[in-house]
Amino acid sequence: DVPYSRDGADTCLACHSGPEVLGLFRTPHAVPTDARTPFGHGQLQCEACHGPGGGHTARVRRGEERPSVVRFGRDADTAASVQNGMCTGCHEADTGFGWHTGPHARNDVACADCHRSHTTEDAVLHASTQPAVCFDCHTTTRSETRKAFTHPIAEGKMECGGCHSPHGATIDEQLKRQTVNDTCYECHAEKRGPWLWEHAPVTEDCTLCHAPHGSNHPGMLTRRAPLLCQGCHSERGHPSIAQTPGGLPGGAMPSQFLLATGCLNCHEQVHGSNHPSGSRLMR
Amino acid sequence: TPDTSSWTCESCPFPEGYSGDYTAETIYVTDDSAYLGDAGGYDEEGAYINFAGDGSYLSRDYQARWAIEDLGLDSRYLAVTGGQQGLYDYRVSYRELPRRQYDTTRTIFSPSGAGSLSLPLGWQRATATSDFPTLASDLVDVEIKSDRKLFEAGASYLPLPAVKLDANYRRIERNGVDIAAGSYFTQSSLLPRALDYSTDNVELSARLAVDRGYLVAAYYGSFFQNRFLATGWESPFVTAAGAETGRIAQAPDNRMQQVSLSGGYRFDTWDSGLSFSAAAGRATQNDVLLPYTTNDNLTTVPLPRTRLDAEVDKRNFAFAASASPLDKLRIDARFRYDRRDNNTPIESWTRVISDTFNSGEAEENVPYGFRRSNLSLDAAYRWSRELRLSGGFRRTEHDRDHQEVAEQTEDSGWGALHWRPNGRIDLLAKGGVAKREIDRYDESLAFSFGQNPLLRKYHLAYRYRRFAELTLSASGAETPVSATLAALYADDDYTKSPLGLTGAEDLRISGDVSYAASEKRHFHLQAGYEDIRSAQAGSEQFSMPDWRARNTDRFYTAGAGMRLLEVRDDIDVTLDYLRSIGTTEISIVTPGGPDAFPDLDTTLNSFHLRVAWHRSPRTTWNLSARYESFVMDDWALEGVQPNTIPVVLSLGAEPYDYNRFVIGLGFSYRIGPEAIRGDQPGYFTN
Repeated sequence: DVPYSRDGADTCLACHSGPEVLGLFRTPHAVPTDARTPFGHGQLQCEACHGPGGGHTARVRRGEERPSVVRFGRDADTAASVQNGMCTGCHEADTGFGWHTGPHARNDVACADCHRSHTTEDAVLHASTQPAVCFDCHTTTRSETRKAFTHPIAEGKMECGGCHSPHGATIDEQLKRQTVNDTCYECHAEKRGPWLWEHAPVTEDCTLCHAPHGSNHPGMLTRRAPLLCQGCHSERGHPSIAQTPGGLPGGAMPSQFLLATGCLNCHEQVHGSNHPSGSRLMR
Repeated sequence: TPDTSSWTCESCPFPEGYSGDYTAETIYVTDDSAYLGDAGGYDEEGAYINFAGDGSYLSRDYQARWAIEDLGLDSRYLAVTGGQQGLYDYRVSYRELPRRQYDTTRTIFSPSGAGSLSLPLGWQRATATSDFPTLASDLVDVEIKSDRKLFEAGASYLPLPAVKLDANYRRIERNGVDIAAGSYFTQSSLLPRALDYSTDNVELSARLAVDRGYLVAAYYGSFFQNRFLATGWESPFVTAAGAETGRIAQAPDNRMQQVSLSGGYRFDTWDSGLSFSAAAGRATQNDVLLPYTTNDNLTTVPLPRTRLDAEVDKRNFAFAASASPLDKLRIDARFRYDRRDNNTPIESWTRVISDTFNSGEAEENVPYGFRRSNLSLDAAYRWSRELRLSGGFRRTEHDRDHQEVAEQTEDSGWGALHWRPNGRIDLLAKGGVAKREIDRYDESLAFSFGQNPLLRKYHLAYRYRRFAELTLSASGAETPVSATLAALYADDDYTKSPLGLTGAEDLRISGDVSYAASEKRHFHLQAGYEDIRSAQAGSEQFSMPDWRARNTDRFYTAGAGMRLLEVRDDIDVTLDYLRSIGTTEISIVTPGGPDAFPDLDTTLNSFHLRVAWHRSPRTTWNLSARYESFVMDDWALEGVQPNTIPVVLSLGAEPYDYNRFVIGLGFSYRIGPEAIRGDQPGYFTN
């Protein structure tokens, strides 16, 4: 068994006293009055996370490599599963549903790939800085959030964690709530109903029509009306009529199906209607 | 366990007392811009005074932290957290989020009482927008904008180290104006609809954490209230039968309550673990129903009920397990089940069409419900220290009520390899196929809904999907360069859909290169490309396809950044640039021949320079210069004046076309111990 150091953190700080370490003492990990933390009374201080440091702190012969301790971060030589084991030793209950079967654990993502425990502020915990941390890996999503119509993520007013639960979730998209729709209703409860006249796909999955990370179309729609609507509506009359550029301004008859808000020029209640005369989602 | 009684930690610099950084800033914005002010708060030209900061008070028995952002803007944010760690904590925050949609819109309507809109005095009705004689003089500017205000408060208490009680309250208010449509037969008016609603969310939970597991019991309640039951308007068009006013319902008051139990446990055997979650919820809505019509000249049948008493029960269950029965083998299993039972009473309703006449038809409301289950089994085998192979199977089943397809099953299989030959190269390649089958597409039910029986709604249709994913990361052995390339691809065939969506393709590629010349010199490049295509078919003759359309969305993003710390001893410089282009091409082939719409283009350019001059360990001057431009070509808005569409009185919103500078000069002061420079990892904002 590897022994622990002789004097705990005092031994470590004799060498590791740079700014990349000292920020730790302003974080929740270093609260002496909280017995659960590494610096709580009787706890193992630095070695609570980095493992026994007796070998690392002992004198080594010239030319001999100093034994390593558990190191954290993407560039560390310690396996992600070992790093995470140190974290979940205390934070198992904080991981949430199914962390161990979730995409982050499955892809060897270490806690320290996202979290910084030695810095005064952990960037991933703040709305204005969190997306940049997530986008370090989720680069395609970063591009999506730069589309013309999107949630205010790039502005630092909404964090990925507003919808997603990166530590574990019951659904694949790693969402905070039980379903896609329940997650959306957190902020858009006016769309929840239940309505007198429901629009079937709305009750099932908001992403059938919306691209929540961003889109080139107002309302973050996946496609432009009327084509989006015509993917499901083929009734006789105007829903089945092909709309062509002839309906644009300057054409023979500027089209109410194409211009302004398209189908929503009349059928504005696409999320549902509570009006007794609203079966066509126009009232 | 070592004897730590002598570990006094004398050299540990536990801070005590107040500390904080506060910044006051004057900002000048060179132009009005709804789009660029959306969420950020800089929507109007002019000078702003802003204030931001964060701080803390730390002692042995009490810790408090606070943060302030954008205090002088409509996007202000304040937050305080505090408590005695390990015993209790509290958190309070307030955020405003401006929604700035259009500042180029004009309307003839003016508010008149709760949720109602009136025509101008002396308005003369006509049957087409071009025939309104006083339209030009009656139009007034109206901004389509609203504000969200989010107030949150919460507290946690740990009566025992293993027990955590948590309570959270969140209120969201939204006030302002959005766009509604007031239709009258084939005519319509876009309305500046007043919004005034709020949502109160409450979450209570109790968590028991033991050595290897946890159990959480929770309650969630969400209560939505709308000040306006409806939006009424006076029709600007010539009407019949006295239908001079209309009324559109607003979102009704509603509530959702849910209880849940979840937990997890880790076992020594096979390094295995289990998680489960079970939730039962009910969404209800019992707002008073509006009458069929506002037209007193019409005699209508009585409403079957004055309140809907709508009720939807939701059940969600999930289970996950993982184990390593062999040293190199890991197996994961996940199952979830969702159920939406709509118990809303079904009644017969007789619609009044455009407040003009009774439809004479009895229509029943349709309470949609579904049951959905999802099972996935994955296995990963570590072939060697460098190579891991994995694969999985997944089955998703849908069972829907009152829709064309009752039962739907999707089976999916995938395989992946993860190769890490050394600490510098990381390759993940994944590919798979998925096939969605349906029991049958009920054409007679579709026909009864008025649909062409050949249509296959895309989320209900047979689909064959191929998908692939590639991520390659590399970093230099000697030089501090790292690069990432990521690609996602999906190809969907709807080969059994004569009408509707017939195919879709999605390709996303992104790349990053970072170079850290030193701890104080960081450079970053990024690029992204996305290509989303879809094809669909329609039928004007209500039979076989007689028109086809293609939609292609392409996106290009490119960004660059550099962070130069201590350019001079006391000066830091950060520079970010971003260019984002979106293009939508829509082409259509009809019996009249092929045709194409003009491209829908959006182009954003953003350039942001920040210079920080650390005048002393406590004082810093900050200069920020940002240039942003956004140009949009959108045929749905371009040249569409309020009277351009003969049958729609629109708001005349113009496509966004802005460019502006945001210049700021600020002064920061630090209270308490001097800052630890360099303890924060830097992230590029673009």
